[in-house]
Amino acid sequence: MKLLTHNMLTSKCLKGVNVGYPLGILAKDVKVSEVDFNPEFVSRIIPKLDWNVLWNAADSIGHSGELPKAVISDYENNQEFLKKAHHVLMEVEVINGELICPESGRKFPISDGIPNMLLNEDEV
Amino acid sequence: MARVKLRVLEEYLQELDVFENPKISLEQYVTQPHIASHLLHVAQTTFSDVEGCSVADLGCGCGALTLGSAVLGAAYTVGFEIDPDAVKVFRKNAKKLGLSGQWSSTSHKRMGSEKNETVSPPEDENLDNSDENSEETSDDDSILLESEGEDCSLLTESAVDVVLCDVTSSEGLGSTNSRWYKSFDTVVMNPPFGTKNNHGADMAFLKSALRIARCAVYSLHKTSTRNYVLTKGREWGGKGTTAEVLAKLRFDLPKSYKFHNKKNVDVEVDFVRFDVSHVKEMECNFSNMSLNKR
Repeated sequence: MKLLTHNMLTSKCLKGVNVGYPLGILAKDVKVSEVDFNPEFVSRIIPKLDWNVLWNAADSIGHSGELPKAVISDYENNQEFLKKAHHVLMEVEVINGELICPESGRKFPISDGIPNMLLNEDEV
Repeated sequence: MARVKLRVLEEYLQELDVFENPKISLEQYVTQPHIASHLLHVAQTTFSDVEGCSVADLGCGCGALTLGSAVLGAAYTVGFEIDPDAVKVFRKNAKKLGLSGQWSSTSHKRMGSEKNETVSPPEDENLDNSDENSEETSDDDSILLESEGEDCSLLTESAVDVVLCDVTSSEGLGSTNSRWYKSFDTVVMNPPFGTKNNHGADMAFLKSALRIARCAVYSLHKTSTRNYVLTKGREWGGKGTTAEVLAKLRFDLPKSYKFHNKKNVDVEVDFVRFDVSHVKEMECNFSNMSLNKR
């Protein structure tokens, strides 16, 4: 699970949960691997992100690295910034662990890189 | 332009494994490599909707459309699937095509030796499922990569994720309040047809697809329900949505379920493209001016 994907996931589907965001991460295994850098794509995705959530997620698994705490202005033209964002968004992956609903504490397993957001019938 | 020829893409997809035991309740059937490759190739060559784009595949199953999108250079691809068994096959397929990162058990693409785990040392306690698949056999990993020569690196550095969830949930992808709302450029999918005990599933998939797509949705629907599908699609996509049947296909569904008594089941299927790029949304406004209605 990439941190870009984590930035989008919520547990709002759970009965009784209002926001369900951001999900906490309890990481057992984290893997970093190279992904093609596409500055144009990264610039386009940044407005869709909750940057604080991204930074905290990265920090909580020990990979905030050089990621600035806030989006800089004129980021579209700053290759260095986009590269750092790209690294955290696309190259850092949680392989095994858990996502945790901030309201209910419900845990969602991440197994071999795939978050399992499936709910039991009585949770919907 | 597509960076991979249609024929090559089809060959790639032919290497993929398929459902071991298709589930009737989910109307699982495989998107034939021939159809998947054509669908994606049209999306890229005619509309430039794949390369450099973010692409979602709803009901990704064994991954033909997800992995095919990655082969064509999608910047970020997410497959959404409800069935953990299908996801196991997906994982095998991703490995087979040489995807790196979480999809390979080694840090770089390589054939053979499976034991070079590069993940940080696991702790003693086991999480649910966490070790269930780690020992999956992978004798077949090496098939494609060697024979494809220079193409073998096409997929290694693609960004592909899979999420296990119910895509039809109205609180999830189908919601306008979802974080996924308008977050993908393109959706490609081969949804269930919504027959059997699955009535309406096709439409629920379509609704979610139109919510999360910013530009286009490519989907396959039974020709017999064409008017309904196009009308609903335009309604759910919002004002400015256009829908076009790009091709009429004949699905030669192989006898995948026991209750099929004929050898093959022929179904007429529309390949539809919904264009939501004209739909009013803050960031899309400027593009409205330069594009005329087709």
